[in-house]
Amino acid sequence: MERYLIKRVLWLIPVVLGVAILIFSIMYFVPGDPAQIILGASATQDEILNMRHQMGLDKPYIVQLGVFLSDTFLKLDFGKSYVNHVPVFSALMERFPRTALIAVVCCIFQIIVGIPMGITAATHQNRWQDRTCVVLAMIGISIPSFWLAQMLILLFAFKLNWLPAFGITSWNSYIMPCFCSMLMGVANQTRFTRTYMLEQIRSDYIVTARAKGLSERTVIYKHALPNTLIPLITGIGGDFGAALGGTVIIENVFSIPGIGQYMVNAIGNRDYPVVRGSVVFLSIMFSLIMLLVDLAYAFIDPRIKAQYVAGSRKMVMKKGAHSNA
Amino acid sequence: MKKRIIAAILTTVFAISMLSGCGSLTTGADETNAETAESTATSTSETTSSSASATTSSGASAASGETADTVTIGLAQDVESFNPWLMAQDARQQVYYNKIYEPLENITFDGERQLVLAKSVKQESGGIYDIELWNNIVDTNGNNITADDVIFSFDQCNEVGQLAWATRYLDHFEKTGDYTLKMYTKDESSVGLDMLLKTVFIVSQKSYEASKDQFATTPVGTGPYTLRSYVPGSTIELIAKDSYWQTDDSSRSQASQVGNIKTIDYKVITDPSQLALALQMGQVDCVAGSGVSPKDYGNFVDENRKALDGFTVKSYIGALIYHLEFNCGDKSVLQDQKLREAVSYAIDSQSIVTSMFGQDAMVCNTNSSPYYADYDSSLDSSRVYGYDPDKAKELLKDAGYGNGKLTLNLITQNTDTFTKCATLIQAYLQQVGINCKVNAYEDALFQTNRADTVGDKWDICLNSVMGLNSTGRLGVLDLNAYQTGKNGLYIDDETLQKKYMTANLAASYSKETVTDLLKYIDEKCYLYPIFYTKGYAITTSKIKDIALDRNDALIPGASTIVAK
Repeated sequence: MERYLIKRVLWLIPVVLGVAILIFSIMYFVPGDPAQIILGASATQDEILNMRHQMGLDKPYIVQLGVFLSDTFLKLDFGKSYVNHVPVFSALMERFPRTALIAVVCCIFQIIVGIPMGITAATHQNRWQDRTCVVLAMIGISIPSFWLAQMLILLFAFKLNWLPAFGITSWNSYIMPCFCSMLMGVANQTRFTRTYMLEQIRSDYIVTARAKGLSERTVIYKHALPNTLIPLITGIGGDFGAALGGTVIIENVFSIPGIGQYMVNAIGNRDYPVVRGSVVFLSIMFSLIMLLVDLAYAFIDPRIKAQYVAGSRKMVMKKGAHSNA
Repeated sequence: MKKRIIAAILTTVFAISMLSGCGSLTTGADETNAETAESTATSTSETTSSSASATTSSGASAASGETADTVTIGLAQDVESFNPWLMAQDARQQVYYNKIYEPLENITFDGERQLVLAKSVKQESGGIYDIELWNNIVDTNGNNITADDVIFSFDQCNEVGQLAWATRYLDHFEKTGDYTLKMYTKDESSVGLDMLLKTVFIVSQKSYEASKDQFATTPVGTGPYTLRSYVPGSTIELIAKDSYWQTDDSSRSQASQVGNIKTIDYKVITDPSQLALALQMGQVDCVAGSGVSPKDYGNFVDENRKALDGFTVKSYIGALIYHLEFNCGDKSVLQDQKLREAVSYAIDSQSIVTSMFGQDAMVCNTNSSPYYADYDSSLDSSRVYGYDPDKAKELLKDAGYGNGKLTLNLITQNTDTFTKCATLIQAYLQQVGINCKVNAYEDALFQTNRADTVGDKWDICLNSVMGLNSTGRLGVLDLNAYQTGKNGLYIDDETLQKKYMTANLAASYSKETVTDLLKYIDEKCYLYPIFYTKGYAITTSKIKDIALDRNDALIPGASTIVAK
């Protein structure tokens, strides 16, 4: 199992490297000149050329790529923002916890609210509990998060004055953003859980479990649920990764200085170091999350764990065969 | 049956939510009895007769009359860094211009020059100026500012490079004493001196070199305020210094006033509607720059643009003039003046202004506006190419383009104002038989296409430009700014260049030479001015008299601020 873990960690390197090269190339070929943007429309050609030289943008593609890769992976330096000269890494470290907090809360609620709702709906199929959960899920999916954000602000911040409307002054500043962010995730989780759970409930082994006289609670939570969890955890992992980079609307409405807003502003300004650094950082985070998801599979399903272990053993045996030969 | 009931409930829920979301917000201020709104006209500059005018109006106020010592300002974006030589943006102009850092000279709201760190600036000859500093300037760390610090600041500004549009006018400095130096400018441009003196902030070399992050989060300046706390992307707090170096009140610049304001709190609110709401609810006292969008004006002013109860409004003329730039190069059909004139005659700028802005913008009949000191109102009284679609059709026919044969490519930025204006222009051109393809780009792409050196990316560019004076905003016409041998409109008109330089050089700059330039531009139909907008500085009634600087940023210390 440890070998599998090491192998997966090592696989991160070419993945992140590939992402880095891809984002570098995309930003290189995207039209728009950061020097022109910073200096403004009244800049002369000479000034723009000087600025491009200062930024290192006058060098050939391959030289710029080499410098970027060596700085990023050998020196762990994402560079400084073209616009405000602030180191990208320190800005990311400052912003990441805020975005991560929203993403983590979103995932937690998907688990503690979405899954139980889905189970309730599946075990009470076609009854009022099922219909209620499905309707609530539909509402959660249908409501646009930016609209919901505005409505919550009007109600809780301005009418009732219970919660702050913007900023990160205290812990309760995160309540509304987290709620807006998690609603769709919870709704989706409810629907997926219901679907997968219905499939499992109709399986033969569940019939056998009931025939053996096990309680319904045991049948659902000890037998059916573990078999449902694999696709659910995949979804949660994907949602977490998407939330890391996709909360820009929430961050903008609630004025939360997170990574999403940081990246979107940088794209508009063609702030290459910020965009590249953010994408590489998020790709590392996402890869680690997917690794955790894969490890979670092993924890939930012993068959998958056995596959991981068997795969490692095969490698060891092959190496052994080679060395004997 | 059950499904129908559920569907009916869902429909009702959505309908209610839509209606509640569309309803207008009422505040406690609206429920109070309205008193007559006061209207105060502020004085215009004494040096010219056509400087920007502003009016202030205040709604009924519940303020106690006691002075306040704190003001809260909403910012639409974060400063991101306190380095003094980064590119200008609304947030930086509001937060640290003249509050943390100071330049040698300021330009006031009315366009007057006001010395700050410089005690005197005298022209020796041509582009050579003698500058004397006050000898008692100290920064937050107690370091005395000397001539060496001035030279250091300009060098660092050049190194950062983002203010090259200002420092391009500088050739070099020559130190002549501890507090005196000679400034040699590269050309004798009418805007060069002011650009240099007002744009570059002066800091202590010792303080700057001691800073770990080049003042990014720990600024040290000579201004009357210092940074107390900064949460990036969220809040900024400035606190007034116990003692400010300028002890002579009569010499203290307006922008450096502190008054009774000990603390200035800034809150970063990135969403424009939230910013307006925060102002409406009194969570901020003022919104920086153009933070309140025109669609939210109705919450603060009535139909006559007088302040509603609980708010104070100061209107001013914006520096930006929206115009059409014509590609006069050989890769565009608009190299034919008849076609340029046809386009100009086809557009009804008054209707565009009325439909888009109502009373919040004015038609601009010349490439200048009352914002600029060199504005000649006689040029603005009528338009050279007034709305005349029949004349436009006639010119099209003369040029050999019958109905529908001509297609033009118009580029602009993809903001609300530009796209609406472009759509209206497209419709007017369509009426006379000109097909117009509108390409709206985000800012980066727009700048790239506009500055394209080949000259085949666009025929018409809908743009907005400002400057220190009328000539300064017409830099697109200057051959010297481009290396291609042609200017930004892809032409090399010698007469135009001569008139431009005459109106640009300090020695010959005057209202007459500027007027001469503008008349020539009209004669050749190189640019088509459309409108300039009015801006509104909106505050709660806590701020009775709004004092703004030239960047339309609130000067809390110079404003009258009372306790709520």
